[in-house]
Amino acid sequence: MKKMSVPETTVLYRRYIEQMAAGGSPVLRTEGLGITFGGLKAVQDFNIEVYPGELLGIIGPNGAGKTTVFNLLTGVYRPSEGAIYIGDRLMNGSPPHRFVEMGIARTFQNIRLFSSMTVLENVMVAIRDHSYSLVSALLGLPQCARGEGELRRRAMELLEIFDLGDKWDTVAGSLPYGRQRMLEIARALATGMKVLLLDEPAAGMNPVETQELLSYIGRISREFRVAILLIEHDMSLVMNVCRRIQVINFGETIALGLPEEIACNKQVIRAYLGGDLAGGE
Amino acid sequence: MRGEREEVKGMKKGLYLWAGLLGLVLILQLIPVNNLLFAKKIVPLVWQCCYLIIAATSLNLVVGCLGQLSLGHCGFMAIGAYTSALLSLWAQRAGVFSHKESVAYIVVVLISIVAGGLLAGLVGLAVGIPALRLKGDYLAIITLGFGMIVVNLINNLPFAGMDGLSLGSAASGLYKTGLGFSNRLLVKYLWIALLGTTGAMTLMFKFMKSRFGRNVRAIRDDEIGAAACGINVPAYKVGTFALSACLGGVAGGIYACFMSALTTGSFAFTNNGILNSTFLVAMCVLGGLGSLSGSAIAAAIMCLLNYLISQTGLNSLPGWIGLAFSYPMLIYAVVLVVIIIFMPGGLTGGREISLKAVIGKFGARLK
Repeated sequence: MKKMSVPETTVLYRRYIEQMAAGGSPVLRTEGLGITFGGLKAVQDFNIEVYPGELLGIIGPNGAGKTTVFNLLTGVYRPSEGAIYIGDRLMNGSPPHRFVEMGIARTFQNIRLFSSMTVLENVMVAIRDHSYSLVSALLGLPQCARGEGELRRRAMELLEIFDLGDKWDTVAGSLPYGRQRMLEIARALATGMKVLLLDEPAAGMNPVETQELLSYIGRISREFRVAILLIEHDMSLVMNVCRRIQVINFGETIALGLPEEIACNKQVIRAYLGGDLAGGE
Repeated sequence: MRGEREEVKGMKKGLYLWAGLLGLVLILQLIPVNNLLFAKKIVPLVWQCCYLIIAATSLNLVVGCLGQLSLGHCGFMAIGAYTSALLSLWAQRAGVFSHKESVAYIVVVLISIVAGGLLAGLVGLAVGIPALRLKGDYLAIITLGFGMIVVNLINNLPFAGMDGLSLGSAASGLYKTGLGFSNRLLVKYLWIALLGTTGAMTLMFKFMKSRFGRNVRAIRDDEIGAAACGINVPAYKVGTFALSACLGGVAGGIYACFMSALTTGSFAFTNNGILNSTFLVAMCVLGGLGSLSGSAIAAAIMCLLNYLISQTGLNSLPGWIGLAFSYPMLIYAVVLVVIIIFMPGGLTGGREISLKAVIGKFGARLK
C-alpha cells in the first residue's frame, strides 16, 4: 500500500485525535477505500476514522469525490478496493439497509423525502422498530394497533425537536425547502444511528435558515451523542461546526487538520483557487 | 393518544364490515333461487365484479402502491384458475365429493381457491426475484413475456391443454365435475365470491395501512431514500409482488368457479373482453394509482359498462349510437381518454376513499 497520499498532520491535530481515541474506539473506519468507474479513479486510498460523538467535516472543490465517499460509506456504491468497518464489522458489499441497521444514517444533497406521504409518515418509515409482525398486521391484531401508536408517539417526539410537530399532517412534498431539509434530518435521526452523514445540509438555504441549521446540528450532537460527518460548501458553517476537517481533491485526501489549520493550508487554498493564485511554486 | 383511538375505531369498523357481510349472506339465502332476474342477470354480474375487483386491486398493489409496471397479471390469474380447477377435478375423481351440494364440496372449493392463490404467490416469488432487478419499461416487458409464457405453457400441458385429455382437463368438464357452478349454484354459493372479495380487500387494506405498506409507499416515492431509511428494498419489492400474485391467483380461482370451462384465451395480454392484463392496468389507472378502493370502484364500473354494452342490446339502437356500441373497445377507449384528460389522477386521485369524507361532502352539498 502506498503511503504517500496521507498528508502530514500537526502536533495539535494528533493530540486532538489521541483525545478522541481515549473516549472510545472509532464507530466508523475505512482502510484504503477506493472506487473506480470505468477506469476513472473517483476515490482512492481514502482513510477516515469517526469517533463517537465527534463533528467531522469533509470539504473539497466541486467534483472532488465528496458525495462518492458518502455513497461508499452508506453502501450505495460497492468499493473496488479497501475496507469499511462499522465497529469491528467489515461492511464491504453489504446492501444499504444493512448499513442503516448497523447505525449509519444519511441525508442527501438533493432532498430525497417520500414526497407524497405526510411528515409524520416520513419519520415513521425510518424508525427501526419491529414491534409487530406481518401476520398480526394482516389479521389486525391488537399488537398492530399498539405498535402503530408507539411508532406515532416516537415520530411525534422527533418532529417536536425540529419544530415540525404542528405540521405532522402535511404532505412532505409541499413543505418549504428549508423545512424539507429539517425533515430529512429528523428522518435520518429516527433510524437510531451512531453516525449521521449530512450531505450539504445548507445547500439552497438562506442565511437565517443556515443559522437555524447550525443550532440544530449542535443540539443533535449534544443530545443524541452521535458522530456527525458533514459535507459542506458553506465554509463558515464548516469552520463553525466541525472540530476537524478532511480535505479531498480528485478523490485523494490532501489535508487533515483542525479548522484553523485548514483555513491557512497552502495545499487547500491551491485546490480551491488554482495553483497560480495561491502563489505556489 | 389520538393515533391509538383511530386504530381502535379501525378495528371496530372491520367488525362492522364482517357483520354486514354475514347479514348479506343470510339475506341472500332467503331470496328464492328461481327468481329469474336475480339468478340470470344480477348474480353473474356480481360474480364477474368480484373477480375483477380482486384482480384489479391486487394489481394496483404492484402498479400503484409499489410503482412498478406489471403487464402480466392475468398470468397469475391463469395459474390460480387452472390450479384450483385441476385440484377440484382431482378431488372429484378421488371421490372426495359426490355431488355439489355437499359440505365436502364447499371445503374442496375453498381449499382449491386458496391453493391456487398460494401457487400463484410462489410463482410470483420466483418471477419477482429476477424480474424486479429491472424497472420501468424493462420490467413491463419481462412481465408481459411472463403472461404469455404462462398461457402457452398451460396450452401445452398434457393435463390442462387447449382441448384437454381423457383424464378430464380443466378446459372441458369443469361444469360437470369440478369447480364450475351451475346457475343455481352461482346463487347458492354467491357468498364464496363475496367472502373472497371481502377477505382479499381486507388483507390488502390491512397490509397498506401497516408499517409494511408504508414502506412500500416509501419505495414508490424514492427508492434510494427508502434504502437510506433501512428498508430492504429488494425484499419488499419481491414480497409485494408475490402478495399481489397470490391474490391474483385467488381471483383466478373465483373466476374458475364462475366459468363452466376454462380457456387460456381469457388470460391473454389482450382479447375482446374486459378480462385481460391490459384492461386490469387500465382499471388501476382509471381508479387512481395507489388507491385500492379506487381500483375496486373502477373494476365495478368497467364490469357494469361491459354488461351494458354487451347484454342490453344497445348495439341494436338505430343510427350511429348503435354502430358505436357494436365496437365496445371504442367506447372503453373514449371513456379512458376522457377520464385521463379530466381526472389525471384517476377517479380517486390516488387517495383511499373514506366513507366519512364522502358523507361529509354530500352532507355539505345538501345543506
